[in-house]
Amino acid sequence: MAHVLGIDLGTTNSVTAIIEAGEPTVLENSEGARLTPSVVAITKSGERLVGQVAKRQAVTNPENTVYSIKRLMGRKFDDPEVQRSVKEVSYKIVRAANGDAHVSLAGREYSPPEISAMILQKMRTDAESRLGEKITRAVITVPAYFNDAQRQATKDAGQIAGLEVLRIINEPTAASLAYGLDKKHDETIAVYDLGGGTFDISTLQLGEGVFEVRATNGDTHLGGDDFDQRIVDWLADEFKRDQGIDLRRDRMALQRLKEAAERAKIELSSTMQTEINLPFITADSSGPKHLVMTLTRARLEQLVGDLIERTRGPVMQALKDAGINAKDVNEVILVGGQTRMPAVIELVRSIFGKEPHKGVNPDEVVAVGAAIQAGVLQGDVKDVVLLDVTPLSLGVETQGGVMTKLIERNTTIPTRKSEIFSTAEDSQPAVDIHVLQGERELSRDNKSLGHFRLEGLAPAPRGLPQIEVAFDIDANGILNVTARDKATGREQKVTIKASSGLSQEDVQRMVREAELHAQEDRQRKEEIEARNHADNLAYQAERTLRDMGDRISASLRGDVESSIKAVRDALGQQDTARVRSAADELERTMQRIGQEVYSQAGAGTGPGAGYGPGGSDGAGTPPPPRDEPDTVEGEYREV
Amino acid sequence: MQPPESEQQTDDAQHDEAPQEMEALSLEQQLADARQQRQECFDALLRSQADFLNYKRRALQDQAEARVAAQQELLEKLLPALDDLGRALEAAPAELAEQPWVQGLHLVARHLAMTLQQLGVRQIGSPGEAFDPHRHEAVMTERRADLPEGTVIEVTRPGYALGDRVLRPSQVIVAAAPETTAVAPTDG
Repeated sequence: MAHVLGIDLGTTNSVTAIIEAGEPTVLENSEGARLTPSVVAITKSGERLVGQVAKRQAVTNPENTVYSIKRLMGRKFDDPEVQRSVKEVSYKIVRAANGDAHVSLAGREYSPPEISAMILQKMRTDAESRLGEKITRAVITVPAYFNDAQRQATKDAGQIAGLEVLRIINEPTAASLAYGLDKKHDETIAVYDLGGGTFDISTLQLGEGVFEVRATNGDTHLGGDDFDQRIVDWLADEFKRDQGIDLRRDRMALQRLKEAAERAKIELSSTMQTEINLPFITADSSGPKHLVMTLTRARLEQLVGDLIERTRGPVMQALKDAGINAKDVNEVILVGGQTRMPAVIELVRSIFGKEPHKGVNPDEVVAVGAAIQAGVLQGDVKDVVLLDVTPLSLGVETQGGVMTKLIERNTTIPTRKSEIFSTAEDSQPAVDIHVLQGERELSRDNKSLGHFRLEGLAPAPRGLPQIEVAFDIDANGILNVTARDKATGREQKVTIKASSGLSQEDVQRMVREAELHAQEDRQRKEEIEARNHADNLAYQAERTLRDMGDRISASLRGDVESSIKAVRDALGQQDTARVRSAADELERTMQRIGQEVYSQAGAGTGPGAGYGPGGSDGAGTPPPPRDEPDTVEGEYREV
Repeated sequence: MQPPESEQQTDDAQHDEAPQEMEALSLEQQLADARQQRQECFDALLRSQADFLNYKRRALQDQAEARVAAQQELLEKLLPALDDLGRALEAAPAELAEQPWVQGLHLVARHLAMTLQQLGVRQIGSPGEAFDPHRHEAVMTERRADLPEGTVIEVTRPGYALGDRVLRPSQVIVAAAPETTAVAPTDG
């Protein structure tokens, strides 16, 4: 089942995502980054570089490093947007024979789709190695204002990259899909996209599951980079005022300023102020100079206020063109990293009078939407079956009134889990299976789903029989609990219908209660386990005395017996501390049996009268410590 | 029993057998359907199992990568401060070099460097190397006649690698050819 890629082919950065197990996942590229710069370069040695790597060598190879190729896609050379690029970019833009804008690199001409194809090729290759499968199909996004020629160019790019482009979808539509808005009815949606270099506002009308673009507007040269520049200028100006040096003239200092500015801007989206600390930023005859300044959020908002305000015009125009009021817009979506800034969110909020959607990472939301569309078109998946989970834990009651869980809550069903339990008393003829549902430690605090008995057990010392208890939940949530005596093969079971469970509120309430009572439940459980342990110990001790007979000296026998009595007395009380200390005492006393028996020369050939339940080893091993996870004691005990 | 070839009887027999035939056909059809359905279910089961195994495999892979990525992130955050320390030491005035406090500072820096080394972090990028965008980031070029084009002249900010993974490329100044390279041939 080959995945279909969802690709956001952006002006500055590109992102790839897929649907995996019903969830959109952004794929990291080969460098481990979720964003891939839309930069392509051809080095002097003819090597082709794409992404971050291409960016890094741009300064050494400006004529052959291409960026923002999206601005040229599907456009003619004479297009004003192209002409603007011709003046601004470091690479050569030429007129092709058919009037299209082409790029000249390393002595060869390339069409914009060919360049974009190189980016898509990298996205594809990286996705293939990450997923371990061949990828041949994709959904690619384009701005809502792209015309036919531009859309075709994008499709061509995909084809050159070896991808069958199942669909070209609009970026604002993709963003709407990412927020699940296609599930709503007849809505007006506004998508506010402020990225690294461009601003786009789109209004969409959703009706009958179809998105229709009503109007678009924007500013093709307004973005986060401009915000950064404001901070750099402020830092440089302040520094010049204080120290008389213009850092903008120092290439290295400028580099550090730019990086610090971007970091500070990002910081200030979640803090009210940040320190910009750049020691040894430059030096003059009097020595090294440091830049240390505090930038508050308020100051930042002043610095970029006009940039943010510049987005208002296009928004109002787009609304006007769509023939709607800002208040008529039902949903507003934020796209693009710069929309993380509180002041930007505030502007959007004030224009539309409602809270914008921003839960999905704004850098990735378009790719996520493309992936969702890709998932729908993938089609290979036959009726994706939505599996349920069991909302609360299921288990049985074990010795001392404790609930032993077999299936944890939120386990996906169908599922099956079984464990081995045993008896709590000698010659126990039957076991009671009490099926419980819930999160509390004590069975009485949980919901009882059913009871049944497995009878006809062969007489045996306690702990010896092996009763396999299996919980089996089918896809419909019906629970079958089976108890089987491995020795006799006798089996009993009970079927519990799904509806005998609880409602959503009940579930939440029970989980909450479990959390509230976690502390005391745990303590209670520990007390019960201590008691079980002590009880076991006493039983073992009695057996040992019987089995060892007169190999144990009378005085030691007397000590053991009184220790046993102390334990049984303590168990009769409710004092857990006393039970614990009596049990420890008994354990110590029993150690002496081993010492005594082994010190009797040549006495080691006695039959394996072990202490353990199976009686398999002759050594005086005490019963397994109670905090071993496998030895949960129950009304029947787990072996 | 009547011989089956008799037409009359055949007609009657056919008449009698028709519903049975239909029933037989229907059963055959049902059997075929059931077989196909079974095959489909089986196929779906296998795919499910395969998906699960693949997911497990990827989960383990992702876990290993996540650990490395987490380390990387943490170290990356420390690098700017490390850079500043480097700058501070470089700018130490010569006349203070013998001062014990200054020497102590150098020792502290050395300790830090050793710790990083022990963690598997190493510096990358040094003058004289051929520029490699996988390890270096060019911030500036300088025309030089005495160095081959594309040689790293100076490292303005050190780069670091963790194992064979580049944490951060070193920022470098790269030598450019002394005279302007010929303009690319004009387009046809």
